[in-house]
Amino acid sequence: MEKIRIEGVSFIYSKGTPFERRALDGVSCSFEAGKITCLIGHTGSGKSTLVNLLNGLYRPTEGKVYLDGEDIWARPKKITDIRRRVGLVMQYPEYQLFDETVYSDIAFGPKNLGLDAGEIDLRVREAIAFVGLDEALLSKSPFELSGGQKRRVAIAGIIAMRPEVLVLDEPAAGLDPRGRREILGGLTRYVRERGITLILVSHSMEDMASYCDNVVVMKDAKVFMQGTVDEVFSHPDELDAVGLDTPEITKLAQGLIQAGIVLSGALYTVEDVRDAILRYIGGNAQ
Amino acid sequence: MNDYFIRCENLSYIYEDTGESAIPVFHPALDGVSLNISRGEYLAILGHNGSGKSTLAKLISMILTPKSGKIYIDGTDITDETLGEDAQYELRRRVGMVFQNPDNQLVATVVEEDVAFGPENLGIPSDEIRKRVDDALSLVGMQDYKRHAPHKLSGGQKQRVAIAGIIAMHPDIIIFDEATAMLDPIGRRDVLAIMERLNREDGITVINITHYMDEAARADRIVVINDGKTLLDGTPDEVFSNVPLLHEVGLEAPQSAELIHALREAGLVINSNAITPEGCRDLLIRLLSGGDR
Repeated sequence: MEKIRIEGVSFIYSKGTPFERRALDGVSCSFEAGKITCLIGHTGSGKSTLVNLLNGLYRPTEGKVYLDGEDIWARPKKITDIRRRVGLVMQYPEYQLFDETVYSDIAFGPKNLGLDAGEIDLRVREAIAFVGLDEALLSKSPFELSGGQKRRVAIAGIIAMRPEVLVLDEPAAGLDPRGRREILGGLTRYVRERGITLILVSHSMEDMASYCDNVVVMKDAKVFMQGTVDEVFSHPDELDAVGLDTPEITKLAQGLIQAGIVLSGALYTVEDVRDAILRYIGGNAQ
Repeated sequence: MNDYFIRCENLSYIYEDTGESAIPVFHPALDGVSLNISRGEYLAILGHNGSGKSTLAKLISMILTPKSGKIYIDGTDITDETLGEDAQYELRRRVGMVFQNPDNQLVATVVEEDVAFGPENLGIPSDEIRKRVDDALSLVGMQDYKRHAPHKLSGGQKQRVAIAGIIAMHPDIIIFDEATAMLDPIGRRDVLAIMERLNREDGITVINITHYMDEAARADRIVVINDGKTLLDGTPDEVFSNVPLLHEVGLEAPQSAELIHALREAGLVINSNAITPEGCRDLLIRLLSGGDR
């Protein structure tokens, strides 16, 4: 089922000035409910503009954005409702922390929703658990935390709003491998448990292979490809043409297949290829 | 052996955090690290966030001064407090550093003025500056942008301009502190290619501090820092054969090395290691066609 549908959307920056630039050009795509979709593409491909359209921060120059089948701009005065339902975490959100304690920073959004103190407390504790931080940090100043911890506090602030759709722009950028796994693993667990729709902007084909169900590839202000991870990965030449590399492990598996070692099934992660090799050995032993 | 280009002896550094409380809190960042680097070496430093690797870089580039221990660059003790101002300037010229965030490194409103900023401060004659700026910009492939405004460039382009600004100082050593972390794949590839060309063709000693294992695998040598200490020091083959230890300290190996480790865990007997997809493919072909079993 579609959670968000983009239909024929164009977006033009500085329209009617000499700086006019078409950042999106007749884009149509959809994001399935309860699934994790990776939005991938180069700097300048239009993906950040698309992200800003999803929760009504930008209004399309042409075309429509539907949330649960309803045009989000049908009643422009109600657009704040859409922003509550679609939570957006920008790049490097740790620069947006501002409050005195981690607790009050995470509680800021729920407080503005007019919730009572008990409900706010529940949501703050739930959100910090999902991003994998200890409750002991709640009383600290966010500015005493490490970069990776700050990032998680910022994400927890959006989770505490309990949005139906969560959009994250490069949530793991600049983190070490463990930090990446903890953030992306925690988010995946959260959306699976709650049936939330997750849209992940990423440059990493490895992350896309490990965490996502579907993929939308943007190129030159248009949707270049969309489909399941399997479908998109089955077009390596097209991916290469937009500067997206097939994961190293997939290339390795393809090399084995060319050498006559017939591996079957998905071959996008180290675990996939390990299992395929073990199946191959098992098959030959019989 | 006294002829190492960079010699770090028993370095320690402690961050003092006075914060809001009256009693200072001490965070040891480096704890007795010794490290020798040869002239022209291409070294990668790995470690999780907070491991102390950036502190080490800041000590070598004289941004910080060690609490104890010595650093020698080309035989000069850079921690010597009696070092004159001229000698300090000269050392800072010789050790360049490129940081993670491209937006924090550019100072001027025109690309070529930004690149000229360092040489101008060295008091170099203007025709020589002109030449250095042009050479540096063409080396990073940004000559066509010399009159552009830096803030309108992409992250990768900004980072290339920042590198040109360092190159124009004619340094002997360049430290890249997670310089590719905020870039997209194309920006990353460009910066890495420049890094390697400076090392191979111009003999510049390159230290690449990174979270990307595939970048580290390309270096001559890898040093892994953990909890302020040197954990591993060796060739990429040697370092990446310690997969369980790397996992323990929050790191990974390149996917090829991870695959071999995972197959061993599943009970296969594999006697050699590989860290590149080509090496791993050949090893697995031998293994699966019965040659190595």
